[in-house]
Parts: sequence; C-alpha cells; structure tokens
Amino acid sequence: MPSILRVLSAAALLLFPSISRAATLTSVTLGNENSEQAAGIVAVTAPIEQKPDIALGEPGRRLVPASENSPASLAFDAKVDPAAQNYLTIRIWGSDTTWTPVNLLLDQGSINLGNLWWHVTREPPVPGRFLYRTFPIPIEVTRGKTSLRLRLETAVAPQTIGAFRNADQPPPKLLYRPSFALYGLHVHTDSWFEPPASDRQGPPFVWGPPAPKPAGYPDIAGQRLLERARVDIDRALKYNVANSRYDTGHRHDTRVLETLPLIYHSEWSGHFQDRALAEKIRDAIDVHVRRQAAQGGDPGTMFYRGWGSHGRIAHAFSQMGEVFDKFGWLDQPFELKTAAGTKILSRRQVYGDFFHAAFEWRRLDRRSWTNQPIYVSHTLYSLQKALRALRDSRALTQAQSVGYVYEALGIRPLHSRPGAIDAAAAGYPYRLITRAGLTREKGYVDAYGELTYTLVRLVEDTADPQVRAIAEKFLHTRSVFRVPTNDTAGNAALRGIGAMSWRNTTFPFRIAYSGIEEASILDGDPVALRLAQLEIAHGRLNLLTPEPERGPHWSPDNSIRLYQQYLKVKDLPATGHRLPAEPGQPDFVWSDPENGVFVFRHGENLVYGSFFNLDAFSGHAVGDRGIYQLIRPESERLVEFPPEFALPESGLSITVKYPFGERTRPQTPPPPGMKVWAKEPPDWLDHRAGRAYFYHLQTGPYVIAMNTTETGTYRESTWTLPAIPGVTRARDLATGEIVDLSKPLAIPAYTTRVFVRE
Amino acid sequence: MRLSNILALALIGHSSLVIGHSADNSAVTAAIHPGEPGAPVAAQNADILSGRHPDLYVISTRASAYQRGHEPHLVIDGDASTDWRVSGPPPAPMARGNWVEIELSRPAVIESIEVQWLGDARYDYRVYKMPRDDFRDVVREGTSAGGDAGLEKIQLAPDTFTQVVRVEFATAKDNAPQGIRELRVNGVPYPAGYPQAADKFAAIENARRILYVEFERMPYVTHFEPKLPYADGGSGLRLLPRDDAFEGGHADFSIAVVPGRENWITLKLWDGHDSSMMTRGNLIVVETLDGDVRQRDRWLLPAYLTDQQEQAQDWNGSTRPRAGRWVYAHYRLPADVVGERREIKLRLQGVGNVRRDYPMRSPSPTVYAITSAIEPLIR
Repeated sequence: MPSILRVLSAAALLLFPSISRAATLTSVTLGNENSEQAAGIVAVTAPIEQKPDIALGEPGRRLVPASENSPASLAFDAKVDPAAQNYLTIRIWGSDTTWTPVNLLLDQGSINLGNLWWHVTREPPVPGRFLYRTFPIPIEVTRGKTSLRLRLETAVAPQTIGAFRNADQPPPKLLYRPSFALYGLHVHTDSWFEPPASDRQGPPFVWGPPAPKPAGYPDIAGQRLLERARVDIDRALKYNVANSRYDTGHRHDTRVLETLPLIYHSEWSGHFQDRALAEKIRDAIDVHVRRQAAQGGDPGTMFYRGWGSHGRIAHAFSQMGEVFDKFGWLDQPFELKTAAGTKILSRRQVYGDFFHAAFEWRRLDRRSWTNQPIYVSHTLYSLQKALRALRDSRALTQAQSVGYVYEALGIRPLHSRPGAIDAAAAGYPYRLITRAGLTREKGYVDAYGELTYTLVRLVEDTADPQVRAIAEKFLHTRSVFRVPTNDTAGNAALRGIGAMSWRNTTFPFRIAYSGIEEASILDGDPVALRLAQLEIAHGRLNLLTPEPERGPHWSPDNSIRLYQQYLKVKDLPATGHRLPAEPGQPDFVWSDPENGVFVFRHGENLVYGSFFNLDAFSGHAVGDRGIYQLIRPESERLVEFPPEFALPESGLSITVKYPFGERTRPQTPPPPGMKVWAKEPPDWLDHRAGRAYFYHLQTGPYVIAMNTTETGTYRESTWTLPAIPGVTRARDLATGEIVDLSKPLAIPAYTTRVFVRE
Repeated sequence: MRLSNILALALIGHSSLVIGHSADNSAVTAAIHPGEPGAPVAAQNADILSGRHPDLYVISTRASAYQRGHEPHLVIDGDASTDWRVSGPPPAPMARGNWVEIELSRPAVIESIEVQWLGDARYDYRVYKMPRDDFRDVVREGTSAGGDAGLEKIQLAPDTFTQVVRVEFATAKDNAPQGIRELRVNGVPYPAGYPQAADKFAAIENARRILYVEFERMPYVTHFEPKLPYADGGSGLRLLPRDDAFEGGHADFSIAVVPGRENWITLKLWDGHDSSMMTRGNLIVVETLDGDVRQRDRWLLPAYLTDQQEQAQDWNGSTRPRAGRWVYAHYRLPADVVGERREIKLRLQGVGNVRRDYPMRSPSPTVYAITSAIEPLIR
C-alpha cells in the first residue's frame, strides 16, 4: 500500500506554535547581590545557603517554609518574548536531598503556571553535578508581553513522598515542606538551555569502583546467596501457609505457598521430596478451596484485588500434581461445606471446581495497562495448567490458554476492553506491547514498564517460542534504558530511566539491570548476559544482606531462584555485547513511534525523551507536554516542552481549563467505521486518540522528527518536516546522511529521524 | 456424511457464482455453497457435513449420577476408552442401583441391546423399558459375564416397544467405581443413530429436568442431548475448534458485491443448538482480507440473526428454539469497506465468543450458503 504524502497546509493540518530560536532573556545568579537586585528578587523564607561541600561552594536560595502550613517563595522579574514560547530554567545541585513540588506562579495573584518538580525523588538525582530543569512558561501569559513578575513557591506535598503505601492505607497528609536550593534562574526561548560558561560544573561522571565484597565472603554464590536462600527456606517452612484471607496479607500467604514446591523439588534445599512438605502444600491448598466453597464458590470474594493469588495457588499445585497423584490424594474423598450443605467429592473434583471458577471469574477482567494483563494472564495460564494437571475436562489446551498470555504480550490484540475490541474490529488492534518493545500505556512508563522479570517467568512456564521472542525483544528494548550511574555510596551501577514516565514518575529511577534471572532463562541471549555480567562485575550481589528484606513484595522464591540462577550464569563466557549507553559506544537513534519515545546518543550527549507525557489531556487528546532528559558527563538537564505536532482534521477535540486559560486540543480521527473514540467508565479511552500523527522538535543543535503512523493501518501516511530556514546541513545521527533542512523533508510512516545541525 | 478435522479445499475457478440482478431474484448479488464440491472456498480446520437425518436415533442420555469427566453421554460416543462412571449407591430417594438411560427419537420395537461394562467385575443388572413418562417396566434381568468382554449382547423380552431404555445395576459392595463404556440399541444404526459417535463435536445440551422416582419428585436430572449438526440433506461447511490455537478454522472466498454502497453478507446456517450462536459462542465472524488499509483487516459480527422460529416444548413448561434449525446470520459490509470494488475477499473465521476473548471450543454452525446482496436476505 503506497503511503499518502501529506503536505502541511492550514486546511489539512493542525499546527502548533513554531519555536523561534533566540538568546537568553533573563539570567539571575542567586546569592549574587547585584544579579538578584537587577531581577527584583523578593524571598519569603528562602534564605541564602552557602556551604563549602555543597554545590561546589556556590551560594543558593533554599525554599524553607516557615511552617508546614505556609509556603516559602522567591519572586523575580523576567523578560519574555511576546511572540515566542518562553522557558524558565532553574539550576539545582544534583546532590540535594530535599525534593518537593515547587510551583511557578504569576506574582500578581495566585495563577499557577505549573509545577516544576512533579517527580518522585528518592535519592540525589545527579550526585556531585548540577541539574538544569527547564519548564515552558504557558504562552497564554507571555503573549504580547515583554516582561512578567514570576514567583516560585513551595507546594504542598505528601508527608511520605516516595514512600510505599498500600492502596488500603489512608492517603498521606499534604503539607508544605522544604524544597531544593536554587542556584540560578534563566528565561529563554529555545527549549535547549546552554549553561553560561560562568556556571561552574562538577567533575564529569565516571563509573565508581564495584561494590566491595563483604568481609569473609570470597565466594558470593557459595556463601551469601546460599545463606539468603536458606534464610528464606526456613522462613517459608515456618510460615503459617494454611491460611486464607481477603486482606493484603494473602499475597505473602500465596507467595510462600508458591515457593514450597520449589523447595520440595530442589535437591540442595534440605527438604527435597519431603512428604511432610507435600502434605503442607496440600493442606494449604485445601484451606483455600474450602474457604471459596464456603463463600458461595465466588472467587471474587477471596482475595483483595485478586490478580495473582489464584494463579499462585494453581502454580503451586501444578508443580505438585504428579506428587499428589503418586500419593493418591487427588482421588481421596473431600468433604466440602457449602451454603447448600455438605458434599463429599473427590479432591480432584473440588480442586477442579476451585480452579475453573477462578478462571471463569478472572478472565472477565484482565485489565488494560500492560503490567496488569501480564499478571492476570499468568494467573489464567496457571489456572489452566492446574486444570490440565487434574485432567479436568474443562481445561483449555496449552495453545488455547497461552492465548491469554499472547494478549498480554501484544501478540494478540487486547480484547478485555470494549473500546479495544471495537478498534480491533475496525482494523486498528490495540496491542499491549508496541512493535518497538515497550509497554503500551499512555506513554513511557518506568517501574510498571520494567517487566522482564515476569516475562521470563512466562517463558519458563509456557516454554512457548513466541513468548520467548517477545521477552527477548522486550529485554533488548529495556536495555536501551540502562545508563551508567553510581549509587549513593559511589559504586558503579546501571540505572533505569524514569524522568519521562507518564505515571508514578521517579527521577532518578532505581538501580536496574534485569540481568541474572533473564540470562538464566533466556539462554544465549547476549543482551541478557551483558546485563547479568555487569551486575556481577559491579558487585551488586555483594550488597545483598544476609537476610532478604521482608517488605510488602517479599517472596521467598526470589532468593532461592537467585542462588540457582547465579550458579547458572556466573561462569558463562564474557559476551562482547555492549549496551548503547555504555561509555565509548557509537552514536545511535532508537524510537518507539507508538509511544512517542525517542532516544539518541550524540557523542557524550545522551537524550531520553517523549513527545507525550502526563498532562491534563491524559491521552484523550493530543497533549501539551513533552519531556526529555539530557545526560552529559558534567551535568544533566530535564526539559519540558510543548510538542509541535500535526494530524488530520477529525472534528473531535477536548478542552481543558487551566488556571491561566483554556486549551483545546484535537483528537486524531477514530478508526474506520467509528465516529468517536470509545470511552469507558470511569476514565478509560484509547490513548491513541491523543497521539498525533507527526511530532517534531527543534532543540538546540538537534531536530527530531517522528511519524507515529503505523504501516499497514488506516493511519499509514507520510508527513513533512517543515523547512528550517538557514539549516542547509544537518547530519542524520543514525545514518550519517547530510540533509538540507532548509527545504521540507518527507518523513515516511513509522519513522523517526534525529538530525544534528552542522 | 464426510468428516475430517482438517480439510483444505483448493480455490477453484471464478470467485463466486454471480447471480446478478435477475427479475426473479433481484436483490441477490452472488451466492456460494461452501459445502458443495468445487465450491470456490479455501478452508482450513473445517469439515464438510452432508447426509439425511436417520429415522431412529438417540436424542438424549441421562443417569442417576455421574462423576465429572464420566458423563452419561460418553456411553454413545463410540469410544470405549471413555465411560459413564459412578461410585456407591445412587442419590436418595433412588432406592435401587445406579442407572443410565438413552432416549430415542421415537418409540420402536427393541429386540436387544449391547453393553460394554466398566471394569472386570460382574454386574447384576436390570433393563427397563419406558413406554410412557415415569412408568418403567423391567424387560430383562441378569448378570454380566465379567472380564473385558467387549460389547455384551442382552436380549430383551419379545416385542419390547419403547422410546427409552434404562440399564440399572446393583451397587458394588465396596463402593468401587462402576459404569458402562458403550451402549448400543439393536435396530438403531451405528454410528448415524448415535450423533455423539458420529461426530465428536456434536453439541451437548445440559437440559435439567424434573425426575420422578416412585411418584416422588427428584430435584433435577441433567439430560445430555447430542445434536445433529447437519441439515436433512445438502452439504455444509463447518469451522472446527483447534486444540493448537485460540481461535478455530476459517474459510476464505471472494464474492461479488455492489460497489459504492452498503452490502450484506448472509450465511445460511444449520444450528444444532437451542440458543443463538451470539450468546452461546463458537460463532462465525467475517473478516476482510483485501482492499486498502482502511478496508482490510476489519471484522464483523452479525448485525442480526434471523432464526427459524420452531419452538420445542420443555418439560419445565417453557419453550425454546428447536435444536437443529435454519438460522440466517446477516453481516453488514459498510460502504467504505466495499468502496468501488465489484468483488471482495472475505474470511469466515470461527471464534470462541463475540468478544473473541475465549477459545473456540466447539464447531461453528454449519454453513450451507453464503450470499451477498444490498439487503439482508432469507432465501
């Protein structure tokens, strides 16, 4: 099918403001009296702070509320361009330890222009170096003006910001809390802010030394990891696993239950093929089965949320089915008390009823954000595996039950939402993993997108080649989002990318490898092996405590499996594969047009960005916020920008009221045959309604053009990057091709190009 | 009747029979009979069904009790490795032994039956006839030969005229598993007279009916009713479930359409169930295989079904569509899908349910005709 060449024209397209390139309009060095006076700085409980070991000894102003109920603020005069998009960049010390929201307001009143720190920050984001945070000043308040009086002000934040909170716990109290110190303020009209030469920078990043081995532990595998595994085995054996309850404690109950067969089948566990352990597993499953029957046979009343618990019980049984058969337990009479009276059936029959009912209940709600369907599909698969182990006539075949896993992995379209079904019927299937290998949500996601650990367990459980292929693809993609870092102790590590996550945004994201478990299951995969070998080389296993942490996510099988997996991978030959963000690697461009995500490396500049992010349009219309993180050896930048975009006219739009005015944004045309994008309560809507067909960004030396339209769909079309006057030579970072961008350039469907001006 | 699990038919000749706009059938654009030899249909995981309905056949099986996976219909499935199975005495108020019954399509003179018993033990049995509801007469008592004797012939009393045959046996003293692997009725042709044997996919309906034992009402007994999946004459194509895939078989064809306007694809179906395929599942969707990116890879559910309203009287006093009837499924092909084309390539895809989120587990209704027209037709 030939692409349709679409030429930007006012009639066919919606264009959003063109960025004019100009110099910095306002610069304030905080703590410098002359600079502050020139900008009319008025500080309310924002004292100057200067310490020799902080921020290279430079002075800054820290916003420190006088009380938990009153904000601290810093007001200043800013020159702005009346016709262009203006940006405010603040200079922050990356080793700061207090990170709370700071709003930008018009000083004459309380009009909130946005929050400059909406990330969850659990550790210093850029240790020993400066971070430049760039924020677009809403064009509605600068249009036609040459100056503004602005105010930065601490915003209320949850008392437990960044702390884990169960959904059934009360929400934290919102209070004013101290923010980070500010060292500079700059107003400019290019989203790219180049720090002035007068800004001192910290020493360039280099990987620190590996984490040292614990004293007296020459062999981690033989000692620390085994010790940890034995601690968890002991805990699991002492755990009262014959317990069935609704509250969140059920997660530990069923995780321990799921672990017991692993202990039973592990020759080194000390409980290999221990009949008493098999009886313990049987009795625990019996307890769940009896409780469900007593509750009217309704699986939905069994466990809070209930995405995984029945699956874990089923997985425990599947691993023990042959053992139960051998001991003759499955055909033993089983007295079951139900609302209708007491029945005597075989254990095989009541187990079958238990698993079948759980499957029939759970399959009706498989969720829609990728991580959730993956968990649910694992449960559905495990339930069917258990039914097959019981030789129950209701069991689906392996190929049929893996279909739910296929759905969760994007191999089959999502059919758990009517809107997604409608889109699939219209020829535009909604797949939960994109072609490029990221999860499909409203955009890039950090923690909930880190799913290789659960994908490889699906590989292990299903032994399905398509599942394995997706797991490998997913891991390879995730490896693009691994950057060199040092931990808080200064030891070398790899870190994930979180700054552009659309939900639960964490910046910096945690130390992350996805290596040892993945390499042990994805035999021979060079990416998995590189991640595993870096994890080992960085001494990350040396940091494991003798007793595994027993937090809300504790599952004893992790430590047992880690020991076994480490033994499997530790002596594998070193791989020659290198991650794209590792030092010394060549320039590259990676993108996921379906998620609007772009990543590129240009020399020492490493950029992670997204054309859409968490904004008020929430994916229901083309959003007004893009974001990128620039990682440089001497500093980092976090830049928000209003994306330039284009799409066919659909006649559909959404209007959002901001404190500074209303914004109306278009929706993309719905799939063929659909008049509007399907909406489902409470707020689900196919986020592709808000993904423009074409995005582009000029930022500093770079020009990024992304055609998001997928080949083979109704969207497939070619779009044109408008001419950029004066840019006659630009180099394509991926191909090296020199292109004249002073003329319009066609960008084919599903293509991203990144240029650097020469 | 010709059955096969996988049948790939070559696409032969022109895409479809174009009837056009003749005076006597003005609205029909084209018609295909996918079960007929040489039909221009390429099918995978499908079979062709044809035949006449037998004069005498089994319409129901039921039993005093059964273990899951050992339902009573397994005595007529033609597979001696499956069985109807019980353990211990029958549920109260049934006072004697466990029993299994088969019900025929009409009363007939039955000279003998053949039974393949479960296990090696000998069975003390009684065979009953039931000339009319709830009154049963013993027509034979005896003891089985024991051992693995295969089908054991039991001669009934002369001139046994009945629609229902019951085989009852005494409960084993140790409550050991008992049951029957296969049961045949003399005079009922095998396998056509046993739809479950003739076709492992024949639909099973779980009708629960009140049972009286010595004038005392039992709660319910489940009746398993094998259905005839084919019409009485003609040939049809049936999409089969696949153990190796989530969805079932498919059949591809090209069919003439009227360009520039909405067209309708109508399937003439023989439905062996007493319910709509839309609610029951194991149905057929129509997928578009060609055209531009806006026209292909779309799929359609029936906009509506036209159901031949033959009602069957249920013992519980309600009525329901008769299992085994003609149903017309009408699929709307939007004008933008048709475009300016005069022919369109389509696929009949067997799916598990209307959401396509459950595996296909039973065959689709059998397709006897595919027509295209500018309005939904029943012809």
